[in-house]
Amino acid sequence: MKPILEIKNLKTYFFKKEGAIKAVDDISFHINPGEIVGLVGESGSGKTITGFSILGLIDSPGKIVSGNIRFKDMDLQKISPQQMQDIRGNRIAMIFQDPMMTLNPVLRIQTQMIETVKAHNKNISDQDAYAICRDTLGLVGISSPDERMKAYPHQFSGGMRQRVSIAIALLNKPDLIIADEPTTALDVTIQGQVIFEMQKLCKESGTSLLWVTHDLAVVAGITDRICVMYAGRIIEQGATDKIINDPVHPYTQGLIKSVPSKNKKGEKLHQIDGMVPSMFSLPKGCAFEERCYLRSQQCKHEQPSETKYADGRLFRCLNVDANS
Amino acid sequence: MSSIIKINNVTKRFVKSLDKTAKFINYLGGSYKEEIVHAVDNVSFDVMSGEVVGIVGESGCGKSTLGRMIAGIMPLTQGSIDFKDKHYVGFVNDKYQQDHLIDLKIQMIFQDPFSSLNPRKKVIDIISEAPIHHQLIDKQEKKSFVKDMLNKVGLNIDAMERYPHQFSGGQRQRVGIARALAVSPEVVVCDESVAALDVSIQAQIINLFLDLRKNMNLTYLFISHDMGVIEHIADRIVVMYLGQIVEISTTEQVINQTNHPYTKALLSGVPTLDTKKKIYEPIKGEIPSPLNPPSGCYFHPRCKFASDKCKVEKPVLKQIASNHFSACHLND
Repeated sequence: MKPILEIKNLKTYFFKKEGAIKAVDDISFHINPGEIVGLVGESGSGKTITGFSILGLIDSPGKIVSGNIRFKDMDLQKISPQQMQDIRGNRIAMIFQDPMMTLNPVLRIQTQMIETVKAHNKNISDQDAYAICRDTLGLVGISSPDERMKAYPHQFSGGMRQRVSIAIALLNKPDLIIADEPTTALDVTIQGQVIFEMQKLCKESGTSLLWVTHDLAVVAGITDRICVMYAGRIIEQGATDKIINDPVHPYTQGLIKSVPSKNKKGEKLHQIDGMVPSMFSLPKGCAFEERCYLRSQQCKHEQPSETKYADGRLFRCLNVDANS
Repeated sequence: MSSIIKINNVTKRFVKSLDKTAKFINYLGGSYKEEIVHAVDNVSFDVMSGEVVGIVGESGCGKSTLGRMIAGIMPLTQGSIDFKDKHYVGFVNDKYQQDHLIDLKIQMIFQDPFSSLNPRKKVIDIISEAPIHHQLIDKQEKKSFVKDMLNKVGLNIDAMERYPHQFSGGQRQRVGIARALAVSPEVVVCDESVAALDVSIQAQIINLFLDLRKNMNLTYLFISHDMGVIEHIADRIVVMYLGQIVEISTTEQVINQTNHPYTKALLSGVPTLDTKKKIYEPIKGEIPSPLNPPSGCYFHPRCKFASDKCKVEKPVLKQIASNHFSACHLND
């Protein structure tokens, strides 16, 4: 099967007075049609910038330095801004973390939704656009969509607002949705509802989904594959059950072991000592070296390259035996 | 084990009083009413000495308001709170009283390590301000005292002369913990204290809490929306919904013999590290507005077991097993 999105050796740097920040540094992954892929990492690991790079939303002083982003048969870096505009919000849609920030507070929901439909389909009549919007709103589980179309964002609760932004992302039946921490700002019971809704919608429409999050537990249950990011690099990627049940990279191992439910109640949690290195002064070698229990002298000087593990997943570590 | 804090029928109401226009219209015969939010509604429970009590609930359930009242930084509307059998906040002869000596014994650690520290003060002043003000230490001892505190929370001594913005989130939270512990409290209220931290840092801070509890003999009230964290560190769990306690028991009983439908929904909604494709079965509906709560049981519009009785009659907290209380009509 041909992947719908393929990223090869993408590097997105931010050029500041203090020097270049390598927010995304040489990452490669792909998403197949209908697949749900999780992009997991802590704050500052570059997961959001990866999403922005795909959609061409990187602003100065940021720049995509090198690499290749292929969407279907198009090279997203070679196409004109006008063509990119046609893809953005149409073929690739994005859902952001905070629904309060993404919806315009002074426009009715229907204005914002119809605008999205008309932006990509100039010939559609107002009535048809309205019908599409109303149906999509019903699809994401909002009751009495006709009334709700007239409401303003502040009249919705947090979970409802997130449903509206999901509906807007779905309006043009995209091939790929990038969801950037879509449930982080929501309550537990509402988070369950939103995950349920997204799961169902992707399955029904065959949409691919890139789920960006810091929470391994959220992606464990819904994704087919996971990419784990650390300091701008994907340090491990592969099938979800393999990564969760048998991680090979020391960082992934530490992350999974430190989840409270993996520890005996009341006892000390497994912890990864130290903290994420500053992006201004990344070490020459492996960025995880300082916190790693497998570190060797070599790690200080040599950047680990992407290696294939016996079961087919990819990882970046010098001290893990690829054949074990 | 004796109880260290007793919470007796505590209620907190926020009243939005009428503005001038509404008052004037009322004067002319209009019928504007004051808006009242019952943030915490008649809550009582005991906290034993040395125990970790977890308070869980979703946003707007009143868990933070309750924590703030216990920490003495927000007055009560009704009821009282005792510390070691001594009234410390509450009403005596209809007059609100607060014992500020006991205030020191109950400290609070906040959610956001970015906004809870004064950005213009050095760490040494942040930590030593309260103990010097309350004459627990001399000004001369300041340096050695702060050194001691930083040691306890696992920070380097050179952190003393730095400002909050020079630290990462996890380190800042450690400063906040040191500040709370500086007045040698016996009870610490942690309001979502690990929610803003990254996963790998979160484990470090939880471990620090567990260590400090052992070394300093602390009692914790741990407020969180995260069932995973609460399950790990709490001895007892209080589940709140719309300002009321719906279930309270030991952690084992709440997790394994869950009684209240809301607690069940909370537990099943938590994503786990289970790679079996989980089909989420979410509970329906939204959390109702506390301005206008439903009749009867507050949970009935979302509950799949709701009967006619639930719509009319409010369930009371009843004992269903030893140390296990739940407010649900299904137990009758």
